[in-house]
Amino acid sequence: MSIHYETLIDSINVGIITVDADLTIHYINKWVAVHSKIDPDDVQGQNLLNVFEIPEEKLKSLKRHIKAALTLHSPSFLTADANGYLLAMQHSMTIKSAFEFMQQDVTIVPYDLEKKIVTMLIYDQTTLMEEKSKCNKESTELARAVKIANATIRKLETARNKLVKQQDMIYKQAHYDHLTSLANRTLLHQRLQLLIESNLSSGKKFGVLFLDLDNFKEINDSLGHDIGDMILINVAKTLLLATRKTDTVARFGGDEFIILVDDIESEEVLRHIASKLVTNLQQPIRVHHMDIGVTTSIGISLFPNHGKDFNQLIKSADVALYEAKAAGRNTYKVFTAPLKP
Amino acid sequence: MVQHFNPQQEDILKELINVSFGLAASLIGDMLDNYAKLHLPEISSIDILNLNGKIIEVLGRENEFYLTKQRFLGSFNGEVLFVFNPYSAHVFTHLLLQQTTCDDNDIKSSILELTNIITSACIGKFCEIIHGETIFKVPSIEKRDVLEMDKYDKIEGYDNVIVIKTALDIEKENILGHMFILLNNEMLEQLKQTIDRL
Repeated sequence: MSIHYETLIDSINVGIITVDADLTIHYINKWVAVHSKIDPDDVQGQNLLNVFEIPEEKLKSLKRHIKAALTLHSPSFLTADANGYLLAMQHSMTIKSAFEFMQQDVTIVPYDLEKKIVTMLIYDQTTLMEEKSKCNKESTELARAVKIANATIRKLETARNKLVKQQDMIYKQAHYDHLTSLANRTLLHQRLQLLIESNLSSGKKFGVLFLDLDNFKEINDSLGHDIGDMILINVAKTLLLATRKTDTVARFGGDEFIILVDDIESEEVLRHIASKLVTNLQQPIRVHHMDIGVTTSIGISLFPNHGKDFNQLIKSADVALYEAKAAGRNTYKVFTAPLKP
Repeated sequence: MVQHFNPQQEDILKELINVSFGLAASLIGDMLDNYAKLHLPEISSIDILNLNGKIIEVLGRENEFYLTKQRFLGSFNGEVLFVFNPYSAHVFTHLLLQQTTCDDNDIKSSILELTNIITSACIGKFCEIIHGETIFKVPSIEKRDVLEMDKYDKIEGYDNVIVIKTALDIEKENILGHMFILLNNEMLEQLKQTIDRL
């Protein structure tokens, strides 16, 4: 069987142009003729530049590629990815395309080294480049969306952290004394309620120590409120140091403090703590190069013997405190229930 | 590091590559209308599993790089990769196009033109000595980032890599690139046997 090469070449889906180093056309196949709307017989012998408009930079590149192919006896490539197209030809896309002209991979292979003729093989890569362009566009949009989402997440996280800090601050303002940082009345009430509830079911005991600084009004009046405040801060530190972490030390108001001592075996433990506090608080407090002596009186009540609710326990401790004051101050007293008639 | 060539084989390989580089340099010089010298300061061979690590190593502190890939098929087959840092890629593009500003497509087409010449010269020389035949596939180029190496498709089908550091001296510029020739065991053995016979 004899092979009709021209028929074969005209039936393939690749453009073929044979040119010499001066760009004189020796042959074009049907594919090129169809896509360029030219008659192969008309262009044979013509210069490639008379048939196709090639910008200067692309022309320089084409000449370099032809020279490389002829010198190295090897193919030289112009890719659609990097060059778009070499020869302006209509693409065959029937949908709206991002490209005005057919995107081409052009392979330049030596044809006749002696006569310096090369063959240009042209592959239509428009569909591929179209897909690539869509993918790139989608990737860019996706990257933008991810960036926006990440920025939003960061903003939300910042807002959440700010909110948590604000909540924390609000909680502290609502539950702690601003001067001494001890628990305030609200927190004291909550902790006492919890102790009552848990100890009612367990049958365990806890104590309430009600402290009042002796003659604090005089200190405040004679040395000023600033000194008074510093004394209160010092007293708060002493109380915290002398108690367990599980105990609650609260500023009840002015120069009054309340300590909740949980899980005690007997009244003796409370006496021991109160005695220690009275002794520790007798130590002079150094404020602005002055040693100021402060003493305290303490009233003690015991759950459940002296009360089973907040008011009753505080009231009992307050009565005991009054007794301690009456006994000359700088001492403690345990509540004693009046004998029933 | 695995060394696939003994010192004698390495010397002959260097000589062969130098000859092919001479031809390539003359063509590059013509392209640039300038004197160009292409030399290979270093050559080594590694296992394919160490390819990504080697690319990261040769880039030093650079994260972004241009990677070209080109397969060659036939009785001598394999793949050639080139790695250029953005500075070298930009300098070469500027010298080739003589433009004050170069976009990414300019850089890609210029680097492809350069690597096409070096690949053709070098692989052509290897084919010549082993009396083999090969056809070159259309090359590709992309910009990559060292920090995203895990995301790229892995190259499969090869066992060994010949790593060639290429230095192209043009005017006062020294354009550095790295050429990676990927071969399977059979092709490497064939190349070594041919070198031993030379």
